Amino acid sequence: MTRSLVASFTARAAAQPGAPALVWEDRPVSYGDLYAMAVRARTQVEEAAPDADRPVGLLVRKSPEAVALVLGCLMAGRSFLLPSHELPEAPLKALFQQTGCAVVLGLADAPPVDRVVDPAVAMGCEEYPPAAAVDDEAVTFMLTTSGSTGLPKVVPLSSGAVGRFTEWAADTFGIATGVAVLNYAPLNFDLCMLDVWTTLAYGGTVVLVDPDRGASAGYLRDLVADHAVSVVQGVPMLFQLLAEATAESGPLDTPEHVIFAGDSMPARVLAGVSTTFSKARWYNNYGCTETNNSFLHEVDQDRPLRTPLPIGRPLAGVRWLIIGQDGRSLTGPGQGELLVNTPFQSAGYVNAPNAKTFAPHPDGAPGLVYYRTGDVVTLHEDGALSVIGRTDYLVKVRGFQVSTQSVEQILLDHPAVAEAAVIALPDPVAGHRLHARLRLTDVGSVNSLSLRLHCSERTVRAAIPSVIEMVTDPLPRTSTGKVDRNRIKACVLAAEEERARMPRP
Amino acid sequence: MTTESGIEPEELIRISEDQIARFVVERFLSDVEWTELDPDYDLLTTGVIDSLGVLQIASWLAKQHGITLTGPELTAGNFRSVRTIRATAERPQAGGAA
Repeated sequence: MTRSLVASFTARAAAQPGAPALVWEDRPVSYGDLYAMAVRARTQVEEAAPDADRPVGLLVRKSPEAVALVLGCLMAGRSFLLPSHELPEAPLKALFQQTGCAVVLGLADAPPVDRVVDPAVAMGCEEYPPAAAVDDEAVTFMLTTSGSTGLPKVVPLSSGAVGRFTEWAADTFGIATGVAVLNYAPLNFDLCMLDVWTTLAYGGTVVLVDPDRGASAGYLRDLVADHAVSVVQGVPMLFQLLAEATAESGPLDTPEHVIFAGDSMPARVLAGVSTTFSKARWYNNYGCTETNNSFLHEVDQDRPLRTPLPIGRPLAGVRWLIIGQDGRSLTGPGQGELLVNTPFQSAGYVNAPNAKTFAPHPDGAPGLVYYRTGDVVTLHEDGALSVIGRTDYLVKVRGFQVSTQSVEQILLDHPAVAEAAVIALPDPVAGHRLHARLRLTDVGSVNSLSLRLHCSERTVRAAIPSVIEMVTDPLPRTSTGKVDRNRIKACVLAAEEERARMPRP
Repeated sequence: MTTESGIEPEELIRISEDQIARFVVERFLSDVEWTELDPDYDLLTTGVIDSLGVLQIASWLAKQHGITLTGPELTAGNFRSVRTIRATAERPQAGGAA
């Protein structure tokens, strides 16, 4: 049986009670104190949710108490749903209900919290019973997908899957006693499996970023420098902010491993990383909530940097296939959708159909369940993989398969382009035609002729937009901060209809 | 001034690069001034025109300038740039100068 996350944490707390487990608002919380809080949280969870067979809902903001509450659920052997506290009440209620949560616990009274708990309050005579034993297959964490459309999907992770992942992460990034790891993501993100939960299982110190100050470059730099952070994992935005902050103060000396995660690293952000850290190794981490990490690429900093960064090689125990347009597995270099099976994989969504997403494949290992990533990848001659974009963004233009996302990326690589959206419009002749809407860093600094030349040097003709439109207002964004392509498409189609109604001179 | 054959140059050169550039920009490149379009700019590899664009230019040459191109001349390569378009339109087969 894989050693569970909470068993590892408990062992660390016994071995090094005085060592810092967390840093929050510049104050350390020791392993002993965090363990005591987790034990109280466990009692509170068992009291509020006596039925051990039903999951518990958690609605928490990041804090040491929130970390303790998660550990308390693990100690009680409960499965728990940990959604984003920023979701509106209606979808939150729906998620807790679909997951069958007996009760929703929170640290503050905000709907739909049923019961407010406080692991920080000591309760008279304290007992320290051993954590409840759970099977490898028992579900512990239930995380949600980001859900750019509709209700987020609930992804249950087994105790074994989490234990195996933390073992891999600790081994790969040297996470151990005395090692400080920055946690930038909110507590409900899958990235926390590495920066929060692996660190606590292996005796390191989690330096928690306050999400309210997550956009402050100076604050982030000071956290890394003041607490001698050694491992930094985050989305491109974190690295962009750290690059800004270190441009004047000089590079950060303590980080040894920096891990790019969550999104593809844009060329201009990557360029800034060179001067942000004096000695760190760089990794491009590929994974998702459903399977956790499946591929890892260490960037060779002595060679010219090219984006998109490859996703590199599969981790030990990972099985994978690339499925081409004919539905069969590629046997050589080419392009297709990536299917993976990892030792850290979820058994399937709680609240969504799984038949298409989690399934064996005729060209795969018999009986092995593969997760369809929805990512289109290129398998290069040398065996390396890089991600082209989402299958959702693949369209046919004059018979060529084109990813509108990769066209956006090419346009964004032009120094004059600040924002880009490429949408595919139906076309009776070409199948689709591409329409690009751009905002430039400086109005009039470049025209569509130069942008077309830029594209023609980097991609096939079918992928060059038939219309390149420049606007001066920022592009519309969705609530999750992504460019709202649907809105732009509706707007372009409406304008075209309007033009079609006007008589031609 | 007249040429030795006595034909006015305007008649011989029936269409100028400027005229072609103006049309291409007006129809396909709304954000650009016609003077910005270099006569040698490759309109094909940069996706400004495709086979449909070729037909639109051919139709314009026929309607506005009386230059009728025959099937074999309607290849994309003959419309690669403003300069190529003009050369194509000037060819005797185009029913032009003769």
